[in-house]
Amino acid sequence: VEPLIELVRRYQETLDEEVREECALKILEQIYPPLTLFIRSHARAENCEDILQECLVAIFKSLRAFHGGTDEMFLGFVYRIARNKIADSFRGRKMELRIEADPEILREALAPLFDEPSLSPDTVAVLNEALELLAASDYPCVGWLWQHYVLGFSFVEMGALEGVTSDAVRKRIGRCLALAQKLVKSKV
Amino acid sequence: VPKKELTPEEKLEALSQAAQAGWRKGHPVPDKHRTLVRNVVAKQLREEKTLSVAERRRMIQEEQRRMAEQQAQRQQREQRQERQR
Repeated sequence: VEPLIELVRRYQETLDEEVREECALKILEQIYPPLTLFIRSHARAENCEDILQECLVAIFKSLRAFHGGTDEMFLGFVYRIARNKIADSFRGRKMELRIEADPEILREALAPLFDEPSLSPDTVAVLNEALELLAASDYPCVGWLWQHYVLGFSFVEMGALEGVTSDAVRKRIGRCLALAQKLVKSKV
Repeated sequence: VPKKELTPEEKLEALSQAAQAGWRKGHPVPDKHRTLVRNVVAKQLREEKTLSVAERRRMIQEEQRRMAEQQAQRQQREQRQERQR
């Protein structure tokens, strides 16, 4: 897979329609799954399609203006646009942008894998235990765990969003995991 | 030999990989979104081609300034919300 940032560079440097379109569609292929998962994790299901379309228009309209040197920076740019569009969807209502840790999203994500006959019972057991850990967690822990383990944000990215160090995020996640484990054990 | 129990971190790492792989598999880009992107890209290109080099540079700078402004406003809003909490 070609690095995102190279596709973005190539897109920005050319005025050739075919090359532009080819790069744009390759960029779309790469950003589509994380972007849809991000939107679905922050917005109500019925609003996701509208938000997604607005995001895609905004991303590709401002792609020429993006200036950054890494895939992570580009994904940061994509998520920034998505956050703004999700916030816009609140239409002036005072609502905090927060993760909706809806178990249905994980069931939807895991469904194609659970359908595979090659998935071992051990793996299924591990995934179910992990789901139990998430289900046992409450806010704000579940939001942080979701951001790291479901959306795949690094500690550095999470720290940058919250204005804290990556080390503080790592410790926070560690405490949340310990608490979740304690809660799961207390239920047994 | 009994299997080593995974740590909560390892279990969630496994879930992380599975969820992202599964989501990717279950959410290919639909044609309507490909078409939407194609249309946006073509329109942008048409606009850019009608601009002179200097105008194009100014347009990019303007877009960058607008995005930086939006980002600063968002950060201020989040900091205000954080302080209120």
